[in-house]
Amino acid sequence: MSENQGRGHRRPHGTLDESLGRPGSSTDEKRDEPRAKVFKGQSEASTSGQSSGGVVAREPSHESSRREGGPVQERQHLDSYDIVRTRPADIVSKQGKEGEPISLQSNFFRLQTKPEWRIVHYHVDFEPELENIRVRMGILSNHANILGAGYLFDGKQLFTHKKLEKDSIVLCGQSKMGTDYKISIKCVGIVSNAEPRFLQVLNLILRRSMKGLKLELVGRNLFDPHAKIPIRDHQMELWPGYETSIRQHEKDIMLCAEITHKVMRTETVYEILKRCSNNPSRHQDEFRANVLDLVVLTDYNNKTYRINDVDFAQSPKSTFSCKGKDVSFIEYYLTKYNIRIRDHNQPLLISKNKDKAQKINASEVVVLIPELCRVTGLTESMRSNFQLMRAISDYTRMNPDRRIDRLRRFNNRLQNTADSVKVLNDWNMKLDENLINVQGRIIAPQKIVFNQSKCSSGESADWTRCFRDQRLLTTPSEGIDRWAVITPERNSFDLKTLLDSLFRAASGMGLKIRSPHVIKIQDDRTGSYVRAMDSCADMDPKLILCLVPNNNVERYSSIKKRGCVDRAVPTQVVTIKTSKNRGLLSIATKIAIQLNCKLGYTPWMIELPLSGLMTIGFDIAKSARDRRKAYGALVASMDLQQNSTYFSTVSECSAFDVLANNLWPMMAKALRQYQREHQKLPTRILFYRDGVSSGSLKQLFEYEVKDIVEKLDIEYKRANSGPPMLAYIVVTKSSNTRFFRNGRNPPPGTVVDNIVTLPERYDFYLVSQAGRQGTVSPTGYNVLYSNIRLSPDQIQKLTYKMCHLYYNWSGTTRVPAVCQYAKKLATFVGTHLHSIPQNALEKKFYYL
Amino acid sequence: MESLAEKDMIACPYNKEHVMLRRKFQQHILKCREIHKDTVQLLVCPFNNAHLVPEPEFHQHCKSCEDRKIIVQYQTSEPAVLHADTRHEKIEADENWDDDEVEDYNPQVYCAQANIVREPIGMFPSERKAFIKEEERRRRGDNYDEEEQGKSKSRAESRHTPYNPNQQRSKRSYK
Repeated sequence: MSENQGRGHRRPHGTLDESLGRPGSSTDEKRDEPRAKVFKGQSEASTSGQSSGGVVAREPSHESSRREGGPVQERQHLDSYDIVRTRPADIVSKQGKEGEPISLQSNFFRLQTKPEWRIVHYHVDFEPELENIRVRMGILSNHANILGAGYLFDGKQLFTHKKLEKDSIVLCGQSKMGTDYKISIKCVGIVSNAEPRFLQVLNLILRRSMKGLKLELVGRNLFDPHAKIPIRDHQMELWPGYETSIRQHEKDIMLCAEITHKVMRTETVYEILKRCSNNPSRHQDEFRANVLDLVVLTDYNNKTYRINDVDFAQSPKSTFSCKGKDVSFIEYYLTKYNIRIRDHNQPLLISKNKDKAQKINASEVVVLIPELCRVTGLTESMRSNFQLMRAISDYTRMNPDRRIDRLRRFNNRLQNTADSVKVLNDWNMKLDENLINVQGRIIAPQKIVFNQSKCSSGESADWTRCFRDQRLLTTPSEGIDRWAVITPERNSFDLKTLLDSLFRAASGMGLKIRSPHVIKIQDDRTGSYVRAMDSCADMDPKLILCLVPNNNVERYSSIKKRGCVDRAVPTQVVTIKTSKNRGLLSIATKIAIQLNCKLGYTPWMIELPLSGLMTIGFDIAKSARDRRKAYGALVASMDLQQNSTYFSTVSECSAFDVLANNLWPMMAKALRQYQREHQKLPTRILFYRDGVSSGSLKQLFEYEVKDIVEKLDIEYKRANSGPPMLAYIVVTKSSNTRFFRNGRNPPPGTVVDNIVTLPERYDFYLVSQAGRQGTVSPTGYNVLYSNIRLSPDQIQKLTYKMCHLYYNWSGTTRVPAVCQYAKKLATFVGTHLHSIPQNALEKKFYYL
Repeated sequence: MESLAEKDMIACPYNKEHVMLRRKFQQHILKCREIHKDTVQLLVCPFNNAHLVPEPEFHQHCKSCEDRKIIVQYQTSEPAVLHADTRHEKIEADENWDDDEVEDYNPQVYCAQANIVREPIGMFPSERKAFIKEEERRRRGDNYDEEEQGKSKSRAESRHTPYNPNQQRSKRSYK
């Protein structure tokens, strides 16, 4: 009886799991698909037939591996599943089915045993206040007999296996310095493995065991100072480390491990001080110039600070008031952190502590001692030093096989070093030894549509070779007939070579270019270019090309400002170095394509099987000039079947806001434009939101998504159109997930939508770009809201198609082209224009 | 709001007592507007979601809002000229998805039935507690309460009262 009942009721769940993925596909060991537990939930029809639950529980034949053990879990309630399942048995899943299957590995390790613990959670307070976590842990360890052998303490929270005698205990402890402390321990609750705190505890355990590998905590991750790589010429070291996180993924709890490096400069700020000139008048300014805006790390509390100012008037001997008493810095550091300051005459560093500003004192500053501050990170001058960056990237940019090797070694160390193994065993945590296997799919290469024929993008998603025989999709019918070129008198010959190549390249692609009106200026000063631009206003040029001697930013910005803000003329700035380049023809090809786009025409397109679709991308960039401002740009495509143009708009917003405030006005403009060109509103809208971290998803939903959905409804009703169908997708470029195929990068078009995705999201990973250097970073897409009524396959394919349309690059980009354009536009305005460009340019790619 | 430096504090429009850093403003508004949705009526500026204005001042605000320029500039300046030659013939694709209608995936449906840990993000504390308790029940079955009470309480609390599994015990607070 039990067998049949069991089977009969389990089968619908069997299909649930099957449609979610080939059962037991991706892992080595034979394990069945996890039981989808029958949801008891809010059903009032509480089954009184509990005993039958017990009977069904004896279905162990289905569970060959009793990972989750314990009879409690296997209980199933037969009657209540009907109440929950209002959908048909053919349940919707987020996985696609189409595409060539591919076996991949990913940088995750599965948690084999799900520990069946009950952990007790305590909160620990020290009196008097003790900041140094290490000392706290040391003092508490003296009471190990009370707390039990395996306990976890991270400085404030305590987790133990067994419950202590009372809920609230007070203990006494003494630090090595002899100070007495009173420790109060209060019970907060019980952590079971059904709640999110369980994951927190797992992460703590892992941290603890990693410490057993002698790794040091710097910032948020653990690094290995013993394996440090010195870069002597620049006085820095690279510390390899691991960024780990344990999360609940689609079916299992997994550990994501990623190799990361920290740039540690070997000098402290004190040494910089010593290196500054001894000349007293220059000494202060030089020091200040060197250390301002540096991020420093203080070893004693492992916190980083940004230096805002230097106070030469004070020294470690100066006093400040701490809890009512006046104490000098020397004493303070001695008592609190057990550190002796050597130089009593050094100046002090000021850092405006941002985090604490919310509490009482908004202008509270942190005062730091140069001797104790270690410099981290790279300065601007270092970043522009190519040799240095190349030396660093040799180590940090690892090829897939090296990366896999490092990950395996990490796992090996973790599972074989005595100290770390002990911690893991104490808590009954066992990790897989191998990287997890994932089944992905490769989306077929896309066809690129040119004027007269289509060309396949090929397996490496690159179609640069097509330009030789193909003509651009749309070009101005009369060609570029009325345009101007501005060049300094002495570069006339370079201009001629450039124009010759340009004519050749363009005519090969079907773009007609007539001879321009040439304006020669006497010198290459910014003012001369701007005046020349003004002088040709009468002829109403379609485009102005400026030949400049170098990449001077100020000149570039002024030319662009004149062209985009003061007037509405697209401009192209070419450096003389380009015209002297030997590969001039291929560069001229790229310039010709850019010119075509700047005039509002399209070089190529992809095949779109959906009509009435508008794709929108949104991104934000900060203003280079004013720290409080940022610019949000929105780029919307037209229907891309008969009209392959784009509408670009940008507006100013506050740099402090994570979420966009003026999304709707920009979107309304885009909708109006679409309506103007197609005489109706788009049937479906795909919205790609970039520039937001995954921590703010819930807020994004409440703030942006709901707002847009509401307003779209109103707008569509007003136009007497059908209801709007929107998919709001959040794009994440910087995730820690990596995929490997046989120790190499996966090919472009690889999609992964199970195993390593998150169960509470409708998400997938797509590798759209061809990874040439190092390991390729997949882009994460999270469909936050969707009533677009397309299958996951279709959404994935559409996203991949959209990555082929960035016209500055004849290959696929990492994010959909609309997002790339939005980013380019926002940075363009934030770095060069600093004000909103003219509306007449909104249909041209003037920012490319 | 534009001229604030990073360390400046701004007051919540729902409750003047709430003062916070400019960058926490948006998060705070999300919570405060839930709490005050019945008491304080503020209208949202159509140009900028962060502008929350009481009803009597709304009309005036819309006329003088700084962010009007997004729309005004658009309305008063020359629109982009549309050239006919930017169009092309329809690009035919292999498939046609126009008539496809597929139900959208809702991850919460899967989560509600799967043996996984769910996170209560963005909820108020009371909602969190309720969510966690519900999840416990779902994962462990009906006997959760009984077991919990049995194991932990029997040791700690009252040896004096006879053990009663059905009695409602005081709830632990999940911080």
